[in-house]
Amino acid sequence: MAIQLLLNGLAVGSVYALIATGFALIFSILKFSNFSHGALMTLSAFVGYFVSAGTGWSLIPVLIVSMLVGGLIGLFGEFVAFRRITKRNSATFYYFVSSITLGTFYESIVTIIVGAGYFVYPMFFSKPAIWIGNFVIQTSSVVMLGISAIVLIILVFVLQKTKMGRALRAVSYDRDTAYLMGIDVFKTISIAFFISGALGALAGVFLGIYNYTLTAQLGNLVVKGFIASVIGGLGSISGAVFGAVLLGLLETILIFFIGSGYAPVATFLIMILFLFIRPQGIAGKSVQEKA
Amino acid sequence: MLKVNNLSASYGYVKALKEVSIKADQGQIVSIIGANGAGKTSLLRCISGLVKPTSGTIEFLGEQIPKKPNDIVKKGIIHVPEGRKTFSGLSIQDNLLVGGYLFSAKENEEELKKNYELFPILKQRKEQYAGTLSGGEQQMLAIARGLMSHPKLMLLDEPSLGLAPLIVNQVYELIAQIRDRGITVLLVEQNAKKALGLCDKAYVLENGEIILEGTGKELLCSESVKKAYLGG
Repeated sequence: MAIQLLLNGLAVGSVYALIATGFALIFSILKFSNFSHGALMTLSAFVGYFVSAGTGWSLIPVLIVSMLVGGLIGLFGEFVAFRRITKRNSATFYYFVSSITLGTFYESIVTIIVGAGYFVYPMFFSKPAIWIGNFVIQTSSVVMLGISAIVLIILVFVLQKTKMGRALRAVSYDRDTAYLMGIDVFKTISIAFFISGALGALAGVFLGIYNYTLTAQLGNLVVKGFIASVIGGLGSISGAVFGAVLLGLLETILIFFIGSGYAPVATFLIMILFLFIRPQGIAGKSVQEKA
Repeated sequence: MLKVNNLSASYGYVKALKEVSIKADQGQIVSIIGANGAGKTSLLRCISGLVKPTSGTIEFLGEQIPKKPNDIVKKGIIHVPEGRKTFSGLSIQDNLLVGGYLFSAKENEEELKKNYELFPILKQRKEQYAGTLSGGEQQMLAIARGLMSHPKLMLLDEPSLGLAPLIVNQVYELIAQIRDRGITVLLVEQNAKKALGLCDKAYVLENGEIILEGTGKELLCSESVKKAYLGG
């Protein structure tokens, strides 16, 4: 039982990690919480649903198409809702308003097209569960955990070791100075939004699979990514992953012991506790600027 | 090499620069001195493209400079900003590599080697965060990072700011070395004595206007400069 719980927790945590990193990427580069991220997840999850329903493709091509569309939605959002704010160096407040508006816009699109009903998400696996000795493990958990881990490892590699990753980090530390080093800042910001959108789409499709059903409210789960970011340290990618995995494990264990009614209460209490004790999160930066 | 003609710039209603014209020739150190708020940094930010001038032209190697800062870097102008502005949470090596953003991995490797020879301290600590360096070391890193872009013209904003006199001397030796490599230097300073001692030519900026120009020696001896900037 313990191993099943652990694996489930890790699987849920890895999906939360996708949400949290997509969120953290934008937070670190533009210093605001992107509230449209949840609606982007919903939109892309529906894209995955319709692609699968329309073509009968297997999981991987559906994921790739959804991620591409999610990335493009991210690009669109940045261009329409945030670019002018960035160009004018306006206050963070405008980003908040703009991202909430953009999120509402996406949600409305979903509601107009699919209505308020719920959809049964396609089952991509011929065997819904795998037996290993005495354990039964959901196939979807294993696949989700595996793919999320691969994607996150690629992301960390890109951020740490490639030119593009260095540009992303430089822009998130100091936009003007990055510009002075010859980095095309707006192109770099667009790349961040594309990656964030693709991660959001992947998370959206996975949440659809994991919950079996898909509704226009799927995006509300973005809150989990937000909690994970707070626990891990806002804007820190590794912190977001760590916080998300912790949250996933915690939630699964809590649901098992106290039921799904009380589990969210406990997770929010933990988040509040974190804000009290360690507001910078687990991976909060200790490096200070020197004059 | 660099020719700024009648350049004006403003922030909202505040005029930062009024019809400023300066010139720098290949291989020279040209310095701009002036008090806080005189418009020195604004002038540099116009040349590097971060501030859009309201009127006037900037020519570099006989051509108008491009509009976007990243395109200006491509032309060979690098701006080492005031307060170093190193990327504190990036390693020292990553800071240098960001400086060489426009170049291939191979070119960067060679340039890294050169810079590490010039700055052994950076090599020793290349894996550490830039934020852990002392002020003087950060200034060295900022200059080294600028050199990574193979510049023809380096804009240096207040490189001696907040540094101990001994370190200031090191920074100035370094600036002389950079000039000896054939890189033109436009040096903005409040530390007028230091700047005038090194430069070939200097301008005095006051309230956004050039009020005096001459060789470093001429300005060092000028009565009005002595009074205003050298402390009698």
